[in-house]
Amino acid sequence: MHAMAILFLLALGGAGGCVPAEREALLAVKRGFSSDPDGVLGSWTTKHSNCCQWAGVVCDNNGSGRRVAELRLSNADAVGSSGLSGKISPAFTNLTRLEYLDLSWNSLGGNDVRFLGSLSRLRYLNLSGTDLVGEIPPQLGNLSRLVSLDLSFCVKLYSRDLSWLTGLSSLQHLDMSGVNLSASVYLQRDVNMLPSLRVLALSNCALSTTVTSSSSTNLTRLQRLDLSWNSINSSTVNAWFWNVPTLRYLDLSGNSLSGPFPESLGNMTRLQELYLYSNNMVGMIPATLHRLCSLQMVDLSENQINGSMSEFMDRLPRCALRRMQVLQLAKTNMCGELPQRIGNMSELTSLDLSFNKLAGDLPPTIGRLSKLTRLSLMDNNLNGSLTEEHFSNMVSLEWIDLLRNSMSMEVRPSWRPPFKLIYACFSHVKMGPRFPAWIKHQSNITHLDISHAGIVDTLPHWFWKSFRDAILLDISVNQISGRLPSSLRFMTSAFGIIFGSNNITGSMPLLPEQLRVLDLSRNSLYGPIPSEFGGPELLELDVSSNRISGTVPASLCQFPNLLHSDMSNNNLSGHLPKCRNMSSDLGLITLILYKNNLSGEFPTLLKHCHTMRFLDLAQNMFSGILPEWIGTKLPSLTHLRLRSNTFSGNIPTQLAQLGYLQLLDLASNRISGCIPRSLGNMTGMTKEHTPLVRIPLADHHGLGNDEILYFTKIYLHIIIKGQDRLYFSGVIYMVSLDLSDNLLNGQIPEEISYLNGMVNLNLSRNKLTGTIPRNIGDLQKLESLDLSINELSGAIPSSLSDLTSLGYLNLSYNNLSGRIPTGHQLQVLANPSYIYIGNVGLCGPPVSKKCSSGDDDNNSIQTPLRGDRDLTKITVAVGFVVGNWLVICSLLFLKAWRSAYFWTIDKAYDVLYVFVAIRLAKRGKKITSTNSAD
Amino acid sequence: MAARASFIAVVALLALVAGAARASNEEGDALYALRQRLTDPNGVLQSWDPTLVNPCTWFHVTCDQASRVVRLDLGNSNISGSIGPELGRLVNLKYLELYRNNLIGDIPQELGNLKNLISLDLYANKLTGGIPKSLSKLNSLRFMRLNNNKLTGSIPREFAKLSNLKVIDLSNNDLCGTIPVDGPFSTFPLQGFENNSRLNGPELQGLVPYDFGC
Repeated sequence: MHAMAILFLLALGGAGGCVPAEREALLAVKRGFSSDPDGVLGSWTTKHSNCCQWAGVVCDNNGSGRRVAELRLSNADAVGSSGLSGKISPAFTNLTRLEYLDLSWNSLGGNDVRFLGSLSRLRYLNLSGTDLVGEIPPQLGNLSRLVSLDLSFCVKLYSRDLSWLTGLSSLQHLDMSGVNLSASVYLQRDVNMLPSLRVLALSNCALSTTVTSSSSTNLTRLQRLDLSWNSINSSTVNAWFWNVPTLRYLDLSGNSLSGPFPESLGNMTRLQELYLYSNNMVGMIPATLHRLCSLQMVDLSENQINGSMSEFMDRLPRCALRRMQVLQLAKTNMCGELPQRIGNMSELTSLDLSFNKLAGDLPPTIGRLSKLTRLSLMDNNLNGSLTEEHFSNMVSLEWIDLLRNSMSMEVRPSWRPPFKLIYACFSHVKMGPRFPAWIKHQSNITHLDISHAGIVDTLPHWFWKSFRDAILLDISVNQISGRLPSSLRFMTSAFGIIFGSNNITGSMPLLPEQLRVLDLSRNSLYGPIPSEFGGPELLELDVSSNRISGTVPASLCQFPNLLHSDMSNNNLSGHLPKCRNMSSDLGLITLILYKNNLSGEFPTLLKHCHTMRFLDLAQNMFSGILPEWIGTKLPSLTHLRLRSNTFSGNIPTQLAQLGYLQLLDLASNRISGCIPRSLGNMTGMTKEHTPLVRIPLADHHGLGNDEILYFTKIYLHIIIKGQDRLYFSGVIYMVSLDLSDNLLNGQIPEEISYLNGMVNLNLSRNKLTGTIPRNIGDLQKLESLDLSINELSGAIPSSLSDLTSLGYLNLSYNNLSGRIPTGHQLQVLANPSYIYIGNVGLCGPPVSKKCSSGDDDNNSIQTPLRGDRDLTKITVAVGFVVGNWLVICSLLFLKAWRSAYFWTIDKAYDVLYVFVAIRLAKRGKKITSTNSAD
Repeated sequence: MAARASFIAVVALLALVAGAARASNEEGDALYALRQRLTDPNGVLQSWDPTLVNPCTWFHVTCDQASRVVRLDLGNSNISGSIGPELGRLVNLKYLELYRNNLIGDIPQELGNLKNLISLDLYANKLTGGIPKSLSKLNSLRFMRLNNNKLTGSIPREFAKLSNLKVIDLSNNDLCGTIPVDGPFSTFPLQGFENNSRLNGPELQGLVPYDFGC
């Protein structure tokens, strides 16, 4: 008692309202932290003796003195900072009056926090995002006064047994999102012991069906329930989480819930927010929903609702329509038209109906939605026109995505829309032919996409001024003419300028500092590329299909981030820069230079391109040998096109070291010598090889993911099935070897049949001798095979007919001989006579020359098989006769049948028998004669 | 005047090109609809990207020079599912090779729209139902192999009109009735009809009903 009095005096007087023992405890806490990068504990010094005034410290103010009641040391708001790190000092336990402790988002990994269980007055504990590792200490269960416990985003924590939770009898708020609870099989039982619980958040806890399967709950006060992103896949209807009538917020997104939306949803009459997106639920929402008059936010995206939008709107609670703020139904297989009454949802701020099958006109009543900020209708079948009325009162609209519908926009040139857009995607909405004047005043736009908009006009002078601060400008695939201004390089915010497929003229300007993507392909740019064209951050540069002349500037060597460069189909000439004295390698993944007038030897700059995947130098005037270093300096190469140049010399055996190479096109050069046997080692051309679909993009500022880069930007010409085809996305699966039209001699190595992923093989127009590899039938994926115009001899291997995917075959003009194999796929190839023309020794169908017995010697494997087959035919015919006769005999004895089918049956038996016998005898002759004609 | 004429010619040409592109895209849509019906454990259809202008670079699909789909080679591809009516929209198709898979369901009668079809190979699947009469409209057909399925009903007598038919194999099904004897059927070996327990041999015109035993 005495001691207490002294403490009291100290607290009031000399120490300025702070209990020294607690001050010491706080200083010990501070010492425990080894790092405080933001100086949040800067005020915790003895200089400021009143610890109640230290940052983050709150003292209570009751009669017994100023005691530390709250420690608010959250790092949640400090972006990018690791916050406090080091040891959580046990001195915390000296803060005996502590009721509130927030250490969230500090770096407290490796600490043992068992002692926190002795802070018996604690009502609020927040350790979220603190990197704590291991099992949650059950000592936390001693905190019987705890009202709120937040362990969310402690992704290294786990718990196998949550029975300690039952000690937290006052708990109202429990958030363990991100903690691995997969082994806590009694989770539901333990949670059920917390009758005061109002908020339960267990998102991303690896919960499975077993821990949530029970059908009832004691949680009679629960208002918020978040079980999103777990693995709950129970047949949904009976699970307890559908039967909590007190809920205001329910989030079950990202599970595997299946079956229909349960009727019991209709009992949650206080529900305001319902999030069920990304599950497998099927069918229309239940009619019971009409009782949910408080509903404000609904996200059912990525389920299979499979119904009409009109029916869906009918089932939404009518009493809630005017309160509804968010309606998200993306990818729900919704069809029909958007009903007029959408215009009555006057509080709507966000509407997402993207990726559905909505059809028809957009109702003009949508223009009444004055609070709508975000509207996404992309990927539907909407058509009709968008008029001024559609936007008449949309004063709040900031974000609109209408991509890929069949709509047109019909507004007056003088229209001044009521909104100020930030994100505007009107791709595929017909806006032309005049350039839409209304966007002139939409200068807040950071992302503008008016591609595929049918605009046939000049680019207005105000465009560059209005969108001076834009991040992305996409006006591609229109017929917009004009020049790029020299002021382009001052567009300091621009990340992407996508102007492809227009009528842009003039020369290429200097590029802005921050630019990542430049697409000026398919325009009419002329003149040389400036030697220092700027854009040091460039990832993608596409100036293909213009009339650009001059050389490829040496500054190409100075783009460490450049991944994709396409300058094909221009008038570029001269040698490629050598990129000598490079400090670091180039990061190029694709270099497409086909169809120019480039010359010189195989470019040495490629020695610095270790990451190169797609290299296309076709249709230029490159010459000299193929250097051996291709096999070592370009280890990532998947597609190599060098066709139609004047390369000479041998195919270097080192090419086979390119383990990912799946397309090699050396056609129409002057390459001589043999086809190296080592080509059989190219694992990239085997079935077991999986294509490198993804490009690992390091931190490239999050612009566009790698697959988009692949699918939209990579394309190659491939000559296959006698046709020149432009491959886009399919190119990543293509396995092709084209060595045609060279001076190759010697045999086709038998090893080529190891390359069993091959789709296209063309060795035509060389001087190859010897036989067709006997195991060519191992190339099971082969769709096109051209060996024509060589000097191949011997028989066609019968294994060729095993190629079930073969759609094109050309063996013409060789010295092949013997019987043509007759297997299935060879029978159904088009123009059969052209396949074999110019091989005088071949016989049998489809050529007219008949085979003699000697021809089969070439194909000796086939002979016994054919003999066997004839034998079966005869047996079959005999069997058929006998079997049929038996049927007819049995008919004779079945009186009912007889009277039903045979009207003059008594005499018919003889007639029938004779008839059948004659027919079959005739047929038997035909079988034999057909066989001998074979 | 000459300029105007050539302008009209260019416009007409563009219209034609646009028309051709649209036609081939329709074929792509039909094929993609097929893909969505099929289960494809070996990934043979992974190159079937519906966003491309035409399906001519899809694996197992062959186009002619005018980018019209003329072949579909999916024999022995381990695909399962049903065929569906949309294949009937591939009006330029000449070779339909779907043999040795796990296809189920009926042979859609819409295949009768494939006027240019030369080869219809659906053998060694698990197809059920009758052989559609509409196939008798396939005047160009040379190969019809529907053997080793579970087809029922009779052989449409109208097949006798298929004057170009060279090979027919309906064996190993559950067909009934009798076999046509006219037209090309006068030369077909019986091997192509064997193992149909309820098929009663060649038609006995005037003596037995054609559907005898069905």
